[in-house]
Amino acid sequence: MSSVGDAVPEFRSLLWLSVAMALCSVPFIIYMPWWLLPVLGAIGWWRLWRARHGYSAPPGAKRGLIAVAIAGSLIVSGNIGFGLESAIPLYVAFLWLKLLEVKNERDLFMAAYLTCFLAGASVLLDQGLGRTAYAFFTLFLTLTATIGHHLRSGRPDIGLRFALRRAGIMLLQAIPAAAMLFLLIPRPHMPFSVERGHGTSGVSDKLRPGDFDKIALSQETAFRVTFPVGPKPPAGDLYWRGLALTGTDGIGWYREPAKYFPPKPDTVVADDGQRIVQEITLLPHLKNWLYALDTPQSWSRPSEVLLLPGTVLNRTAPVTSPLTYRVSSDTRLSATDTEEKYLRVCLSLPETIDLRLGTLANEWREKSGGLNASAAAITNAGLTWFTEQGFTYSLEPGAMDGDPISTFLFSRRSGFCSHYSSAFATLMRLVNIPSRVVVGYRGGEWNDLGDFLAVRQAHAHAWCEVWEASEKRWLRVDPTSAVVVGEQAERLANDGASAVSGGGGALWTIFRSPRKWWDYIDTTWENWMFRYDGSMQAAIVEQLGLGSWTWAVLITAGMLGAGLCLTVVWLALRRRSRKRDPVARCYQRWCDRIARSGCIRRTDEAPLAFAQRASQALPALAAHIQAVTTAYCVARYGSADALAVQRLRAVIRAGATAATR
Amino acid sequence: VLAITNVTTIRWRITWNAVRLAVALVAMALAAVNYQSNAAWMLTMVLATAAFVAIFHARRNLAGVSGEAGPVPAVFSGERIPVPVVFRNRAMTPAIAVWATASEAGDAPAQPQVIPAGGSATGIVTLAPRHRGRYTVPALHAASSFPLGVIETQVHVQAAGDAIIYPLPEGRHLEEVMGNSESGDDQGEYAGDDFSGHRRPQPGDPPRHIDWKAVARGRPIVMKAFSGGTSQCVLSWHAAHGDGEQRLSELARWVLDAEARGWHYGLVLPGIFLEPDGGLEHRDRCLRTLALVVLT
Repeated sequence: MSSVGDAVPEFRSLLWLSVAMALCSVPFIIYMPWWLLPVLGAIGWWRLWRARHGYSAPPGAKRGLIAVAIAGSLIVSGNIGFGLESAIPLYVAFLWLKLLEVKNERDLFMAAYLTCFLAGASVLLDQGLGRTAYAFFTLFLTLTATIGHHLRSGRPDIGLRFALRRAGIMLLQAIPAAAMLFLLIPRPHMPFSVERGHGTSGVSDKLRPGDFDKIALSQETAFRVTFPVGPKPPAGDLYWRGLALTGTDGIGWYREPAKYFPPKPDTVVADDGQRIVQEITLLPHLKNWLYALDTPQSWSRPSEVLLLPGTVLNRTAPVTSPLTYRVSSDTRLSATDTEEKYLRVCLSLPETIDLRLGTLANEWREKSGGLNASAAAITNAGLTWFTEQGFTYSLEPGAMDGDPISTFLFSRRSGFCSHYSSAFATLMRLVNIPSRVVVGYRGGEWNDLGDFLAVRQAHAHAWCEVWEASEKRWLRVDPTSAVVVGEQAERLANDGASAVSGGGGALWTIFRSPRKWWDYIDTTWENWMFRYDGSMQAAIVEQLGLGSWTWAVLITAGMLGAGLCLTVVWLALRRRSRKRDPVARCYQRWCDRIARSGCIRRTDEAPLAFAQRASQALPALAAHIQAVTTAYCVARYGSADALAVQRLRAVIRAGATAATR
Repeated sequence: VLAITNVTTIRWRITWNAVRLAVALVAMALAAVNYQSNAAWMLTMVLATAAFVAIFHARRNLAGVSGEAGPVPAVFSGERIPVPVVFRNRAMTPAIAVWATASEAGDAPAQPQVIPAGGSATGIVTLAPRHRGRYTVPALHAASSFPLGVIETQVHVQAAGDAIIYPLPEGRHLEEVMGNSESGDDQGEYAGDDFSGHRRPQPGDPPRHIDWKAVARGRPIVMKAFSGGTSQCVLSWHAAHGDGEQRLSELARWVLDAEARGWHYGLVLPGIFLEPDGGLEHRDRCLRTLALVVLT
C-alpha cells in the first residue's frame, strides 16, 4: 500500500528545509574543519539542483560513497573523537547526507526532526541568551519548513508567510505549557555523564612561552564576579589566581603532581589586611581549580573545595556545569606556603640551562646589592633591565626557536605574559630566590547595570611570585606590566581600568555601550538558567508545604499545569472556529430552540430529514421549520454570501416572534 | 443530497512520523540532561508541546471539510480506478494539504490540495480492485497530515456507490480463433446445409441461424455476412478455452476485438444470450454481463 508519504518532495520543500538546516548548522562551524563547509554546501546545492530539474535523490551507491569519503576524511584529519565537539562535524555531515537522500515525505520529515535535534544541540555547551534565542529561531524555521512542505498547491496567497505565521502561532501556543513542564518536571539524574571534550578553551595547568595567544582574542566569558560586601577593589589588584606552577623543564612550566603537596587547609593564616568578598559564577572549564583573588581565607562548599599549596583553590571534581561560590580573600599575599620542602621545590631548575641566563641573573643581583640583596630589590633590577633593554609587548613575537627563554631574552625581546613570566621566574631561581608562575586572569570588564565583573578568556594572564625570605611572604611580580607602556598599557588595562571608572554619568555610559546592556541581560538570563535545577524545584515544593512528595508532586503539577495551558489553547481555537461559522451557529441555536419545543435533532440527521420529522411532530411550526430549513440550505450550500446569512437570521427571528405571540 | 451533517466527525491518528519525532525528542532530552543544559531542556519541552499543539491545528484544519466521491467508472480487472473526490470547505480558513484516501489504496500517491475557505477542490483517489464483478468501493476519507506530519486527520467522504469490474481481457485474440473457422476443413461442415459459408445473411439474423454444432465444437460462431459491410459473429462460452475465469477473460478480449473491427457481435453464455449488435453501449453491456457471471 502506498500513500502520500511516497510522494517526491518538491523543490520548494527541500529549499526551505535546507535553509533551516544551514542556519541550524551555523553555530557548529567553529567545530568543523574548514573543508567540510564547501563539501556540505555542494551537497545541499546538488540536491536542490536535482530537485529543480525533476530528479529524485541520487542513487544509494553514490550517497554511500560520499558518506564514506566524508567520514574517512574526518577520521584522517583527526576531527572525530568522543565528546560532543568531536561528534558534531560527523552529525552535521550526516544530516546533510540525509538531505541528499530525501526521496519522499517520510525522509523529509525525518530530516526536519533531526534538524530540530541540531537546534537543541547548539545550546548544550553555551546556553547564553544569544545562543538560546538563536536556537529558538532555528527551531521556528525548521517548523516553518515542515509546515511549508504541506503548502504544495502553487497558490500564491498561501506560501512562506502563511507557514511563518502558523509556525509562530504554534510556538507561542506551546510556550506556556512548555514553561510549566520546564519549571516543574524534575530533571532525571543521569547515572553516566558524557565527557564534554576539549572544546572549552581557557587556562591549562601547563604554560609554555607562546601560550595564551589564541585565547587572548576570545571574548568568551570565563567567570563573573559580584562583590556583595564592600566596594569594588581597584583594577590593578584584580589578579584572579587559578594555579601556581612550580615545576619547570627549561621550556615550559607545569604543576607538580598533587602527591608532593598534600592539601593543608590549616595553613591559612589570618591577616590584618582588607578582606574582599567575591561571589564568582565560574562557567564550566572541565578543570578542578577555581579562581579567586589573592589569599582565600574562607570559602563556600568547604567540603569539596580545598586550598592547595600555592594558595589556590581546588575542587574535588572538575567543574562540568556552572558553579557559583563565595570566597573571602585577603588583599595581600598572606604568609602561606612557608614550608622548607615547598620552597625547595620552588628553587628547582631544569637540568640544562643557557649560561647567559645565569650571567644575567647575577648581573641583576650585583646591581641590587650583591649576595644579600632582597627579592624585592632584585625584582626591581630585573624589571628595570626589561625596560632599559627596550622589551616590547606583542601577541605575535614570532616563533622562539631553540631555548625559548634565551631566544626571548636575547634576540626577540618581544612577547607577552607567558614569555615574561616564565623567563622571569627562571632567572629568579638562578639567583636562589624561590619563585613560581601563577596563571589565571587579570582585570575584568565592569558592568554598571548588573554590578558585576565579567572576566573573559581574553583576560587570561600569567605572572610571577617570588619569596621574600626576610618578610617570610610571597611577592607578586608582573613583569609583563613593567614593559607595557603608553597606549599598549591602556589597551591592556582598559578592561581592568573600567572597573574603577564606573561612577558618574552611568546613563551616558549605558547609551554609549549597548554591549553592557547585552552583558547585563545575558548574565541575568544565564544566572537564572544555570541555577535552576533540582534543588530549586525542591525549594518550590517546600514552600508549598508539600515536602515529602517531591517527585510525584512535581510531575503531577507539571502535567496538570501543561494540561491546563493546552486546554486554554484548545478552547480558544475551538471558540474561534465556531465563531467563524455564523450559518452553523444560527442553525444550531434554532435547532436548540426546536429541541425545547419537543423535537430533538440527532447529530447525524440531515437538515431536510430533520425538517420533515419536526414538521410532523410540531405541525403548528411546520411553515416556520420549512422556511428556516430552506434559508439554511441556501446559506449553507448556495452562494455563500452575507445576505443569505442575514435572511436566515431574519427567518429565524420571524418564527421566534410568531411562536411567542 | 443533504447528507452532510452539521457536525463533521474528525478522526485522527498518530503517524509513524510521530514516532520518529519522539525518538528525536528523547535524544534531545537525554543530551540536555547529560550536559545539564536548561536551554536545551527548554527547547525540547517546547518542541514536544508544539507537537501536541499540532493536534489542535490538524483538527482545525479539517473542521468544516466534507467530501463527496464522484462516480466510479467501470474498468477491467487489474486496472486502477481513479475516483474523483470533490472536497468542500465550509470553514472561513483554507484547509491545507488535503488528499483523498481509501482504506485500501492503489499505488499512485495522492496529490494534496489546498481547499480555499468556503470553496472546493478536487482530489483523486486511486483504487486497485483485484477481481471482476461488483466492487464495493471501500470507505473513502479526506485526510491531511498538516501541520507537522505527526498527526493524520481524516474526515469520512460520502461514498460513490459500487463499481463494475470487467474481466481482464486475456487469452487468444479473435482472429486466431476466426482463422481456424475459415480454414478448409470447416468448409465441409457447412457443405450440406443452406449455410454455404459465403451465404449472405440478413442483418440481425435470428439465433437459429447460428451453427450450434460449430459452437459445440469450441468455435466462436461465425456467420459471415457482408451486408452493408458489417460482419456479424456470436461469441460463445463454449468456444473459449480454460476454466471459467479464463473463458470469461477470453470472451472479454473477443468482445474488444470484435468492437475494434466494427463487427456486430452477440454473446452466448450458459443461460444467457445477447443479440448481436455493435457500439460502445453494446460492448459495455457484454462486458458487464461477463463481469457479473456467477461461476459455480
